[in-house]
Amino acid sequence: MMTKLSKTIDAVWYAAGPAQYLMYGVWAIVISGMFHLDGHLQLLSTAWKFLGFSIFVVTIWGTLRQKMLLILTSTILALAIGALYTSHAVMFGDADHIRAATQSHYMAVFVMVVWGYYLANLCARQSLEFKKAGINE
Amino acid sequence: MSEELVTIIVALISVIGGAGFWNWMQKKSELSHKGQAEEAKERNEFRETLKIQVDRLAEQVNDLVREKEQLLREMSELRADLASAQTTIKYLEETLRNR
Repeated sequence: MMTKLSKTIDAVWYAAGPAQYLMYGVWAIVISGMFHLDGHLQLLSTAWKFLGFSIFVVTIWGTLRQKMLLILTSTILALAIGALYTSHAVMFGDADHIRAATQSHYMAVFVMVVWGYYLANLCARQSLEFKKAGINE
Repeated sequence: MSEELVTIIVALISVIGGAGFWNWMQKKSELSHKGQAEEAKERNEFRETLKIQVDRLAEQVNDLVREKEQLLREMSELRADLASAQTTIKYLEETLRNR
């Protein structure tokens, strides 16, 4: 039982296939639409959505470093949007909306931040492995 | 404190915190990678030392086998000499007895 668990953890830890990055891009596009920020803050959500598209494109045609930087930017942006949403939530919707949606919004930000850090770290580790093996990315 | 300022402070704190966390992660990955590389290097050195020792032992075994073959050859020569000496002695004994 433990062997299967550790095998699964290993498989997840080293899952460097493009599917994960593409999924992350898609989710960034989808989740960015959930955050109705006010006024010029809405630009942050738009930037996040744009980053989702960019991750999608860079996964297919870009380098490892570009992918890592975009994922990292998207992660930090998600963190900032989450923090702004938390501090301004009362301004964006009525009480019912806040009660119903706040938890989902927090969960979405949490997932995107943790997932983003994990993927960026995966890129960094891959980059170190390439460097060690003397391979150009 | 104005709303704008709060927004800027919140955004700045989250960005700086996020970037700091990433720096920490990056350092940790690099250190762990460096550690693994050193471990692999040490393992390779150990393997090389073992290989040298095995080569040296194989050489020693070859030398010993060569020496053993030489000794066996000398022993068989000695046996032949002894047998011929015994034959001579017996012949001389016979001759003396018959006299």
